[in-house]
Amino acid sequence: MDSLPPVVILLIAAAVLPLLPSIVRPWAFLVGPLLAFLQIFLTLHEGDIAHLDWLNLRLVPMHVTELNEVWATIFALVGLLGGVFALHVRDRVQQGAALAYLGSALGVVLAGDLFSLIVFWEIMAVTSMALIMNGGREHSKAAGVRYLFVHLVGGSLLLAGILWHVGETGSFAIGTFDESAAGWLMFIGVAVSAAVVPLHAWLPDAYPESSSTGMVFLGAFTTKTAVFVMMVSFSGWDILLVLGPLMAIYGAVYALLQNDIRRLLAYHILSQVGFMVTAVGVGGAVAMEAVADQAFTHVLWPAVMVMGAGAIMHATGTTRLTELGGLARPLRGVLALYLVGAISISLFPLLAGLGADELYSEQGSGVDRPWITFLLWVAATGTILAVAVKLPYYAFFAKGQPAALNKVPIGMYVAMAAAGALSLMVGVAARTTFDLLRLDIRPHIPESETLVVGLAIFVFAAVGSWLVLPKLAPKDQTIVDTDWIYRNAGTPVRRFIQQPLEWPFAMSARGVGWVVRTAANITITPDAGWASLLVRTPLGRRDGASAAAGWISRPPLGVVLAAVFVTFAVVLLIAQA
Amino acid sequence: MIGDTYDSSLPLIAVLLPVTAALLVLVTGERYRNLRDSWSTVAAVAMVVVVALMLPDVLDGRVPQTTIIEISPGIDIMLRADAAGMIFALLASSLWVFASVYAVGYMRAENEHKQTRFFTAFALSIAAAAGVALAANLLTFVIFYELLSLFTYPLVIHRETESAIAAGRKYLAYTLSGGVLLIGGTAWVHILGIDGSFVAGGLLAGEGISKTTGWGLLALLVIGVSVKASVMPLHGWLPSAMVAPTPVSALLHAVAVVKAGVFGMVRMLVFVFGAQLLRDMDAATLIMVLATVTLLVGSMFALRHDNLKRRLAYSTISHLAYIVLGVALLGPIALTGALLHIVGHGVTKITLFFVAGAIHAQTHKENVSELDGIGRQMPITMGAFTLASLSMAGIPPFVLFTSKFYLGWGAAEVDQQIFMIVYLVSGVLAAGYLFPIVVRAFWRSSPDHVRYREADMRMVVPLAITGVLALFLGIAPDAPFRFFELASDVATASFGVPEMFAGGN
Repeated sequence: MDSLPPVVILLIAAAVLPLLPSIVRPWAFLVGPLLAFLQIFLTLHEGDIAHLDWLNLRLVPMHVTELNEVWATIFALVGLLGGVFALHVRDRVQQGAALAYLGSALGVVLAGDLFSLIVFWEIMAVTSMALIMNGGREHSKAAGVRYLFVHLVGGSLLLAGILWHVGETGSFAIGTFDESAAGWLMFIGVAVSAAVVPLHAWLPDAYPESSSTGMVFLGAFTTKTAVFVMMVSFSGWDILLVLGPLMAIYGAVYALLQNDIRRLLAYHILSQVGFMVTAVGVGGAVAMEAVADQAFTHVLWPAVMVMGAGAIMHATGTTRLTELGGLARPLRGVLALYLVGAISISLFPLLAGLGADELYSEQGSGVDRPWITFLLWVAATGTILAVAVKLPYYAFFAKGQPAALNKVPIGMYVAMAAAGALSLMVGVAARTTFDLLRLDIRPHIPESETLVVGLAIFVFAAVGSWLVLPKLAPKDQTIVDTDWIYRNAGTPVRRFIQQPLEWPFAMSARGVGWVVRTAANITITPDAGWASLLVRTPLGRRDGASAAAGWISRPPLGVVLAAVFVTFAVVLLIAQA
Repeated sequence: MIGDTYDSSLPLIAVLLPVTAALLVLVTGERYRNLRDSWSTVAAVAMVVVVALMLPDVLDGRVPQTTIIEISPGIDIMLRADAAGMIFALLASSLWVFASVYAVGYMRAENEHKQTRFFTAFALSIAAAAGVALAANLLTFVIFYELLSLFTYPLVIHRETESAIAAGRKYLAYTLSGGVLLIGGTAWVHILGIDGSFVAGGLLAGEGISKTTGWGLLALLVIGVSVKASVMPLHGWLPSAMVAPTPVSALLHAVAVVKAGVFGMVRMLVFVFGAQLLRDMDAATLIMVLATVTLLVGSMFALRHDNLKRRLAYSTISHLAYIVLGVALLGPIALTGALLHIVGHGVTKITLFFVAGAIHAQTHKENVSELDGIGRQMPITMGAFTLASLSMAGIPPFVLFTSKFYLGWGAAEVDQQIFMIVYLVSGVLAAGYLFPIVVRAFWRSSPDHVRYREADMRMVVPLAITGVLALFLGIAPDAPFRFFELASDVATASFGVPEMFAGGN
């Protein structure tokens, strides 16, 4: 039986939404994710499928599996929470874009063939770009353009891989891909969107430039969608076991160095995706369960914190830790809800486990790489210091004189509270939550041994943080990341690639121009034309007072020519009769 | 593989309708200018109807044809509406509907002189383009191809400024030189005693052409069409021809003339030479390499030009090379994509030029750097521009994504992955030269205090429709004119059924 993919409803809603009056628009926005959630919750089950015969392709725009059902559910929920968080927003571009962005993210994870996947993938890139462009921050526009181009390149790589694969096999089916040329192209394309180090720089570059509400959506969808595709198609690739831990540590370290709270959270998201990427690299059924669980937690926990940062930004107008402080009293509601997310994430090793060694042993693969586990523990510690110690301490408790604060809209509190409650619930009772949401997959529950280590890390970080707190003091500085390369690539690319490529063609075009011009001159005025070959005259040039110029500049040549050829046509007609 | 043909006057009527319009325009004259300007639109609509009437038969494999003159047995001037020709004829006639309305708004807004001459030549150019589309053999093709150059000349020099006349001279010199080569090639084919009728799969196939003769014919015929297809380094005329009034740039130099070039490339490579002969001659690689370079370098030139129309002209050069490359790949899927790209690029690029003209008519601005904030003042116009830009960059579900997808897939299918990657790189470059304009228009504030408004409705409505069409045709290229079905019919007739569909469907 065919079902209607949720993306269809959401894209239509996104097209209609900007036309509504601004008072109803934020509420109308909620209808989209709500319908999507209800549809997924009530009607979609594993194995549901949608077919579409399009041109000469037999497409499967949607194929529900026990895995993508999890992603779709959490995406719809975050879309709903994000809509509540943004109830005060009146910007129709952001609202329409967010709805289409949510829709296409659902489209990607539910897609049943590679064609549908790439279509929604590219729509995601464009719609999410609009969220950044309308961020209203100092560098929003430049960052949005950079973001789009990174994603266009990533999307092109993915499309290249897909086309290569289809050309070889003739099949559009989504499956696991081996490490062939096609597989690598797809992998790199997906890795760009998953912000895998060193292809990650777009994320901390662009996300902080979005609006206070925009980042809630951005932080939830793009990277997690990419992780989903990785899990389906590239699970077990060895390189992920290197890149994943690297991401986790890289993100945690850079997060610690940031002054801008939203950039800090952007690096934190990067770090969390690293944990998921590692689990995808482990591969196998247990790892899939772990990733499914993390899909929930890693969407919800950062969402709570990003909302908190958004509320701070909305209230104070700044996001720099050096300009913040003393907010604990005026924004105590925000603080309390932020801490729900921050403490959940600190307990993450405890709650969700992810000891890679544990997954390994269950895999029974016999490969022992204890350094992966070690690196992940280190990253977890760094995470705690960055988001649970540094950010709340310097934003809320450090000395500072809060200027006149904007009122935090009620919708922001409601969304944060709901997201916090949901994240606590899934953290404490993952299986129950999954059952309630009618998800078939069993989330991974860590073993007691892991619990002990997780607790140890939490205690260690909590105690240790008092010792390192002064070291964490924010500095007003910008830290160079790999985006330096493409920010500064313009001149060298122009000089060393563009100009050498263009030059021979500019020259040969001039050569052809000369041949054509001379030939024309010779046919029109033979003597002057031939003479131009022997003597350098400005013949045929604009400034030349040549006979050729005289011949051509005699208007109205057009009507005469037209008459001649009309006559010709008439003659032809008569001749035929 | 011509299929069944039957005699019908419809192909001839399709060509004569714009000729009639031209005559009526000329007779009516400036005094009754409203009447004069309605002739083109009426003829355009009638022409669409006439061409569309032939569609059901063509899809059934029954091809209408008209013999105009039989010069001697075996050499005649003949029109035939085969599937490939139908694609071009449908495209040119339906876009003429929009361009004819747009041109009235534009010419009046700009207070152009000699509008009677302009509309006469415009209609005659369409007739010539229809002739190119429906030509049944080399001789007919060459005649209409040359007529197209001549009829468009008065449009290029329309403003009669010194630069317009210089550009016109360059234009004629290039296109007529190309035409001379075509005539030579056609004569050679007839001297060899080969029937010049186009055959899917190649009229030279099985004629025992030697490699030397083959290369000689290729040089004449393919270079001949390459001028209008503006394959580098034969592209010099196209940016210069942008001095013409914008409706000319929009319909003729983005759709009719240049598409006559790439359509000619389809005719020459697929209907004259055929895949087998080209493979035997190892000729396809050379064309593919030239097309690739044109594609990339054209985009790079486009990145550099601040003048909007010039930027669009280089973009046209780049996108024509998409099509040439797709044809030269000699695979069924790539050819489907190439033919679809003819349609998609026509709809998309005409929108971009319409917008450039509407902006010029309202603001007299022609440089990209002057367009800050224009989007808030002319939202419909720049909205259409945004749609067309997304299409040009190959973002799904716009029409140029669909064609790019088939082109890239076709390249991968014949194991030419490197060219597939070229297509994708070029998509990013297209985003590079168009998206900054959209960003300027909508996300920067206008520096001057004049508030511009939307242009005349006769300009805004056509460009809005073609902009939406760029999206619509991506989702449903088969509605209403069955462009995809026609394209895959041509591809199947020329190269057989694609391997992956051969078994199942």
